[in-house]
Amino acid sequence: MMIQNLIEKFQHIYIDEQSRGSKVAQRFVSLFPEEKISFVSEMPRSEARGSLSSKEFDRSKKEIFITPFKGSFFKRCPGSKPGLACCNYFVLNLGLQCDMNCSYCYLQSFINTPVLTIYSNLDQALSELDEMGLKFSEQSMRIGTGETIDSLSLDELTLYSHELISFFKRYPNWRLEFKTKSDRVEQFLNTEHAGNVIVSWSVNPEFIVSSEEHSTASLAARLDAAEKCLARGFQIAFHIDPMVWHPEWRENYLGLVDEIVRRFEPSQIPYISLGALRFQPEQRHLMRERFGLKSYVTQAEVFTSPDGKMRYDADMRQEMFAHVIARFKEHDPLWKVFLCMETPESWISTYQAPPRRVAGLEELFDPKVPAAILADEKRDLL
Amino acid sequence: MLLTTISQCNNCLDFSPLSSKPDTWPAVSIGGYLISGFNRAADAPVLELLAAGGFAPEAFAQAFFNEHPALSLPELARFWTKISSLSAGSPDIWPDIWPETWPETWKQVLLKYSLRDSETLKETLLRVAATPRDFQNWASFRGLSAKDLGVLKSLPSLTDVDFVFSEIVRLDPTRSTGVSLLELMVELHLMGRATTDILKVLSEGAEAGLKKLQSMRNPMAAERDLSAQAAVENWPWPQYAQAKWTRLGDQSAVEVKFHFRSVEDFKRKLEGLERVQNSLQTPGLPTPWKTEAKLHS
Repeated sequence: MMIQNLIEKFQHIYIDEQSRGSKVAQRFVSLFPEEKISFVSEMPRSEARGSLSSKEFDRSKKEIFITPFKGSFFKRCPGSKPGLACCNYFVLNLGLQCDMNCSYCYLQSFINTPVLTIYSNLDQALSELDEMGLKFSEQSMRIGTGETIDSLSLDELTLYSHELISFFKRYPNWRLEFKTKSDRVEQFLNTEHAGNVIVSWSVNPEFIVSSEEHSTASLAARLDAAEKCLARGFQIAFHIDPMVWHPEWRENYLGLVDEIVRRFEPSQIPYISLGALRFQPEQRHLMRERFGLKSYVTQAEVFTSPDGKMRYDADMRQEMFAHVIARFKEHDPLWKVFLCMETPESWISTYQAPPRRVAGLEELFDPKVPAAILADEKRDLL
Repeated sequence: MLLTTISQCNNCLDFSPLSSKPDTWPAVSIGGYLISGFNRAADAPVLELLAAGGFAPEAFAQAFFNEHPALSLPELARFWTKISSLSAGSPDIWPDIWPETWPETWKQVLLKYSLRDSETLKETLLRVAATPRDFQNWASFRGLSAKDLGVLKSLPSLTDVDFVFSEIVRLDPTRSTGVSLLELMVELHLMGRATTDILKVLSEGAEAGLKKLQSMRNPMAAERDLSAQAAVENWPWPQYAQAKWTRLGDQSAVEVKFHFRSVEDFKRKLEGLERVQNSLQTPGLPTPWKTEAKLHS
């Protein structure tokens, strides 16, 4: 039933001739009605390339383009920029654009392709990982797929989760992280795994879900999905991110913490990350055009932070983080909560310590990223 | 090339450019479309550039650029709408003279002004062209870009914000202040703030008005900063030190200013400041940080 919703949701599927023989293209052909499929030799609507208008951005969520990714799949998380405390997270981008519609979505700041893109050459991505595996299979690494496309919202169409979960069985020291705001997990629950797959949810109080995270699963549906994953031996994690200020933020975020605590034990969740609303300054125009000024995101009191992004006042952020952390710790000091994409100053004002010195988070922030990987990155940049 | 007269031109692409070449230069037309010398007499000479067999986009762009080498965004917006109005009222149908090549021609024209064709730009141009002419002239004079005027795209209707345009024209702010005023006024309007409230704070001039609009847009931070400033002022500062609560982007802090004339003087003044530090330990003395806790409790 759920997959039928997806099939109806998309107005057209464009398949690059170069991807015609790929598994994912064949699956789309088998699922979608013939009239919704076209084979093309170049990106559709390419006249709309460059910065997209609000209408073009909205339309880009309704059409899919399946094409091979040309370039290196494997990248470090944007949080690894100088000036931010980073949790050694690597990203594997398997597509670009999201079918959901959060008012704060950072994709609004950089997407310049007129269609939702799904990369068809997953095999190449896995080869890249295999190459890494030759040198670093014993290292502990977190690799996530949810940075430029939701990891699971379209997974019933692509079934990429199956291949990734199976692949990671060969690298038990690595952790594969799916990051989602959907509740679409049934399709991989029966896939055999090595216990190193983390399914993580970005969560917010239901008030924010319904007012700012349009077309996403409800909070309850996300937590239900997390329970299902846990029952099948998958690790789960939560990102309370971005926290959005609203008049009832204190009660609503406490309610969120309480709901997580009611359903899960600290031992079942390796980490919970916290982040507050942030966006590139130029993104405000598209946000304003697409969501008006009645949203708590577009209305937010934000200021330029040293990294150039717009953020809440630092003291307010610190207060929001401390509020949530205190509630978790009141329930049980064993909850592991860390700050995402925050400055060392925020860490110190919230925890009175930098991330590597916070009990329970040492492993996450340990600078154990293999030096050779970083050296490779530097070489790529040159 | 052919020398004709204004009266022989079938169409006039008069977009009210703010400057023009001296009358001693002939006006220019392309296929009967006059692209310069709009205000001249009917018998004024016109250089017709359309060669037999058509006119290439690049050549049109170059000819247009030669006639109008420094076009502001509002002028370009008026040119764009003029062309669109010639297309039988539909912006999708281009003038009969270049039905096939116009999109490419437009692209080439924009390139001459270091702009790139996009839906976003077209939407901005349409909005800019619909603003009052005196506002357009202010924007031209101050050199506002498409990005500066992009905020207009978020307005469902421009007629509701006439006061925004007239206030900017009245205040005649610098480019940077004007862009901030425009964005803040539009945002406050969209957030439902009464026009009278907005106009009231602008009575003190552009710079002072901008500060007040910023406070209106960020009321929690403004209230917090105000309380913090009041607390800081009550600390026992020595006379030689000036202290104030300062916002630096997403952070705020106490800024202390004093001068010293020798190492001894420096030492003495630091000792004076140390007494402020010590007094901050006094129970009950208001500090910005305590104020913060109160504000959000």
